[in-house]
Amino acid sequence: MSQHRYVLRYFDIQGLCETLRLLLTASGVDWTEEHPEWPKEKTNQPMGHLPVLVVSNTDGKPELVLSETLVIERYIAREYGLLPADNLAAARQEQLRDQLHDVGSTHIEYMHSTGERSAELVTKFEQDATCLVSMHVAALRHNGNNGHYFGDALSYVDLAAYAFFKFFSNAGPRSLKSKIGLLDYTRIPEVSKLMAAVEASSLLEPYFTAEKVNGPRLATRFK
Amino acid sequence: MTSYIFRYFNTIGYGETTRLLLTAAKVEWTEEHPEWPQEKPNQPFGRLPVLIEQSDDGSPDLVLSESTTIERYLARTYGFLPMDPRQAALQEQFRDRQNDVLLTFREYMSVPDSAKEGVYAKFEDLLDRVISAHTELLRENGNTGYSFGSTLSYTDMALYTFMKLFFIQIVQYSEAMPKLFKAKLTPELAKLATTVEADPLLVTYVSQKGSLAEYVLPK
Repeated sequence: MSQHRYVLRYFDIQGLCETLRLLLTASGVDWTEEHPEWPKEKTNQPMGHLPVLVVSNTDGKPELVLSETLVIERYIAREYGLLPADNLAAARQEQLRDQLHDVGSTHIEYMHSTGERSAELVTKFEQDATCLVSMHVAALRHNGNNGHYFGDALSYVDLAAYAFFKFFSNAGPRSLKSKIGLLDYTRIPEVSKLMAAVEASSLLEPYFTAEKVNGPRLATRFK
Repeated sequence: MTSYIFRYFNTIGYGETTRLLLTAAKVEWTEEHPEWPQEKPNQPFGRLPVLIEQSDDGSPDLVLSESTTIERYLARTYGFLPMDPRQAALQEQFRDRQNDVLLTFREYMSVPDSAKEGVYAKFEDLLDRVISAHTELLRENGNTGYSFGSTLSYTDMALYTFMKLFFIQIVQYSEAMPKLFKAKLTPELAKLATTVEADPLLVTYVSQKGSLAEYVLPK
């Protein structure tokens, strides 16, 4: 059992943090979430933004404060064996995860864009989402279409993909409705299988059964 | 023997840190500039950069995509990123923060004039924080010109590229941003730039590619 305690500081939304919430749950560590008053607490964060992860020892003394979503994800994933120690194996997962993040970022950019830039982003999103699905289906197939990207156990990219596809299955009113269908996992058998495998994982039981734990997460919002 | 092919555009962009890593690693490497967008469907993720690692022992090529994944892979393999997870995470943070600044710059360029002021303020705030974080790190390390210890690290190369991006590439699209950067440049950052350029692992590369001295040193 880990000797550390983790506090995730973020907003009370899915936002950028669902993969991280899944990672923290799957790792079995002692973790809680704080929703700092914003923008009041901005100056108290290392880089003026969230998320921030505070790692403390059992006495509650902070040992490490990290910011940058993907850095935090990789740190937890490596510490708790959800990302392999082997450099190459880790890189294979990271590139898939980075691609999910890129397409997610393009969509966020689209939601804030106007005019010509919006039109450019629609094309970009369509191209990148199409490529993403093709790459991820190939990876899942290459692994024997067993509901996991690598091996036969839950790993970092499984969780990142779950959060990604769940997000797009229920994206809000400003979302790119005309192209979201490209990411409809109910029409992609390999990804559907992945989603089911993640939902069935005993490591994630606390995440999927919680009524309202530390914020309205995917599991509780879309049940 | 391992060798690499680096596929990217002939620009600094998201590729220069990888070029520095490949050079500092002292491996055999070449660069390809695929015709774009014709070659887009031939890339695994439909994007550049792509790194191809080849061995002469008959094993299949490794093909990696995603610029920071490529960087971290090389940095870890060739000892420019520590094995210790916390030390590595601290270095990786610096790199990711730079991406935030660049994304905000892109936002600034693409929003209508009426919205530019707000984005400029956001950009300036982020830039302040990034410069201040790096300056503090360099000071804590005794202002040797290196971010960690007394040898070249991933953070050093990424920061050098970040500066190069502003003074050489971004200046082609906006004069305001590089001017702002120059005004905020601290002596510690200037020293890092000259130290990285003088490092034995990179000195030849820099002599071919050009120095940042005229941009970072006081006139």
